Amino acid sequence: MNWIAMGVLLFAGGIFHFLPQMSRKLFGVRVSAAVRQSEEAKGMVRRYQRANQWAIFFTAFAIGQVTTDRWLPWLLGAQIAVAMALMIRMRQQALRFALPSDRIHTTSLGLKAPEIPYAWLATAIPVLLIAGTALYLSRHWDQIPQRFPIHYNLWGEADRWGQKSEKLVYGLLIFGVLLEGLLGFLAYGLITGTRRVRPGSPSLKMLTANAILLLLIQLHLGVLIAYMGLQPLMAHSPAGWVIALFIGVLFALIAAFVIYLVKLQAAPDDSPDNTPDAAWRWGGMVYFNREDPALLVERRLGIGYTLNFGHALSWPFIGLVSLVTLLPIYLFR
Amino acid sequence: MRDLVLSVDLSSPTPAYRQIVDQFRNYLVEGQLRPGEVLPGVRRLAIDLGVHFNTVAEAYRTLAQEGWLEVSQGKAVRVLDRAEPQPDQVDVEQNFRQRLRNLVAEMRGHGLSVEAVSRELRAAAEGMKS
Repeated sequence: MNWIAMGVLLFAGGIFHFLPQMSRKLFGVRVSAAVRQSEEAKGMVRRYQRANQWAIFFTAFAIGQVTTDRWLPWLLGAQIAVAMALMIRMRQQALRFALPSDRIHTTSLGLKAPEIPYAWLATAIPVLLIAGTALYLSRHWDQIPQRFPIHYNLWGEADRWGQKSEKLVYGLLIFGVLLEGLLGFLAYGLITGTRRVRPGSPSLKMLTANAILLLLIQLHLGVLIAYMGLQPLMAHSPAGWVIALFIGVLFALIAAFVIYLVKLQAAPDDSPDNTPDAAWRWGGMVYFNREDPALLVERRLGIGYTLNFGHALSWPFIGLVSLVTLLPIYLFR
Repeated sequence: MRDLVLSVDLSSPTPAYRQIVDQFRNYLVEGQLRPGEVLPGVRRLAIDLGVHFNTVAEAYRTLAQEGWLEVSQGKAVRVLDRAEPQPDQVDVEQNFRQRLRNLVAEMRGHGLSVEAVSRELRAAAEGMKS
């Protein structure tokens, strides 16, 4: 039995299980509050959750039966695909309750965007730290041993080693700068590229919390990457508790914000949405609207914000995501 | 800034930029937007309304041509202290007369009585005394 795969299954399955309950919309469709609270809507959510539970059960059974790990990504992928298909099917049923007025866009001159003073420091500080590490490494190049650890397990023990090269010494730092750029792009997108919302509303709190979370993760990862970047010069592996502390703080940060965001998402709010139903594709999961200049819009399924894939900047962003994903494979394979 | 609502009906035969112009002009004539007040920039308002940048840019340009707004590259959009123009041009009056006739005909066509039309027109004019 692969317990990590089982954990991933329960985590992903759990997220899909609770997704419909985390939203004011009904399977991504804008409906009236009366419909959202109706027995019919609650019955739809229950039917979806029951079907999703069966899918989780069968996938868990299959994970317990397989003898080779080769099948695990396929089984987990199939579970997610089934959950998405269920979501799309329920959304089609929910469309008959859709509010008809989505062609009327409204706003108010009294709306507000999140105000986070000195937000740019959350990008500048990590980038400067990483640049400082790169400078320090270049000044002490001769002291870097010919062979140094390039990968650690969760307990901080080195489990892979590499030969001294510019690619391996500076690779993590380049990855760090790209990651900081990605997170910074999202944070500034939330502050300047989303619709403004009512002052004091749950939507404004959610936008602000999302942006603050990204800025804190930027700072946290910046410190971690600058520290790990110095490893080639260090005689010993980092202590296990240091790695555990970094990872623990990161997860605690994310968990605290997710709980806060789930509470906010369920609160009633009449801030304008201004996203046409027809622009929500793939069962309401993907927003594609070339006419809408917003870079990020509030999700219809789940919590938080999603990219407007019709926006010109969405494709450079996807390129950056691909680069950040593929770079570690190129550097450390 | 006060909580003035703007809305755009994308299924209306009236162009979106024209709807924005009409609503802003109402607020300006009614005095709800006063000289010196700063309006959201083109990009900001377009994002808030979920319409193309050009739609808002065209609306602001029209209002600037009418003398209501100061719109220039890189500067805040500001309400101007607009000197009241003298309606001395015969063709301007004729133009409005024709548009009013069309509007009255449309109101009558929808079943409103002559008294109701007069009342509505008077109320609209009185409401915009500034």
